[in-house]
Amino acid sequence: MTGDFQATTTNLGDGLAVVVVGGEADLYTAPQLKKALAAALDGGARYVLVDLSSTTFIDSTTLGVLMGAVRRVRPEGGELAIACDDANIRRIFEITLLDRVFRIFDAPGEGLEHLRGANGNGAG
Amino acid sequence: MTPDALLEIGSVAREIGVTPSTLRSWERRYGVVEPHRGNRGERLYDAGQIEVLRRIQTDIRLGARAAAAHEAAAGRPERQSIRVELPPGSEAPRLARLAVDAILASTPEQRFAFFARLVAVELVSNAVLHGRPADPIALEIRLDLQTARLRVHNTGRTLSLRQLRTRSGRRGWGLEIVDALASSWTIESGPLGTTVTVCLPATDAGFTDGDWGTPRPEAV
Repeated sequence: MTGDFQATTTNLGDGLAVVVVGGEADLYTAPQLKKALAAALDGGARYVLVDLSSTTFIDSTTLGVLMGAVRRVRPEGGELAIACDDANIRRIFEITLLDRVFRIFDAPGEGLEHLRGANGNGAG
Repeated sequence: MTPDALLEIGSVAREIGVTPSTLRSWERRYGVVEPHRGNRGERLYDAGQIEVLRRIQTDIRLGARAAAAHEAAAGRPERQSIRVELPPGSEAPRLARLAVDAILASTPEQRFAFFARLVAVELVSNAVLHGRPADPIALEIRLDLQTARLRVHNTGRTLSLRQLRTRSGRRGWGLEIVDALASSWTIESGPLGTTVTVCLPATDAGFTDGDWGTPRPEAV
């Protein structure tokens, strides 16, 4: 299990961005994840999908970084959603009750569709 | 071990949370820890002996009979165990995962392995954030047939369970995660630092949906 961490930000325009996270996220990689999320938000995104499809591990520090991003987008009416089909990682969100804070989707496409809809409603 | 590192029975008893007469009784009945003797014949304990006594007391708190706890301390056969010292920096959680991977390499219980890694990371991250920056963090993992026991020790300030909960509340969800996953756990904090011990069921069945064990935190 190598677990090399990666976080890549893609701004899709119209206030929408995707941050793809790969490998193992923890205390050491938290600053990189923070930077990737900041790149999305500083680029004007209010609706952010964090794609954990290729993430193999997260911890409470990761949750803290995600919550920091939520605190930035919410006052502007935005949303941060999660794509994750790993039952163990999803369980971490459930244990901490953060599945009530984030909408969690099995596939990135579903998450993006949801955020596009939310963005459209917000604009309308 | 220098002479000044030896502690008298009263200090050791306070450190691990028993009375001096309990320590004398354990010594007489089980003979697992034979203390040094000072000039006046008084009992003196070195750091290794204190650690053994701490393990015994933790096992008893977790429900073991005194005799069984002493048997374990004396080297009861177990499936596997590992003890590593981790540098007290942000790379420590990754090294903790490697230690868990090393001991669980052959387990088919993948869900258990995932959550054992998670608990190790949470405990070690906590030690990185709250321990003394210059001192290594000790991680010990013991795997028996039904249970995995993870123990993380760091030097530094004395912490109570209440303080740790408060800190956790400010910083995140680490303690809540451990609390939800553990079948039992203890925090021992004293002059020598803080030790958190967590027992997990060593099977995937112990982590099925809606079955997260019954946490029984105990503060010392």
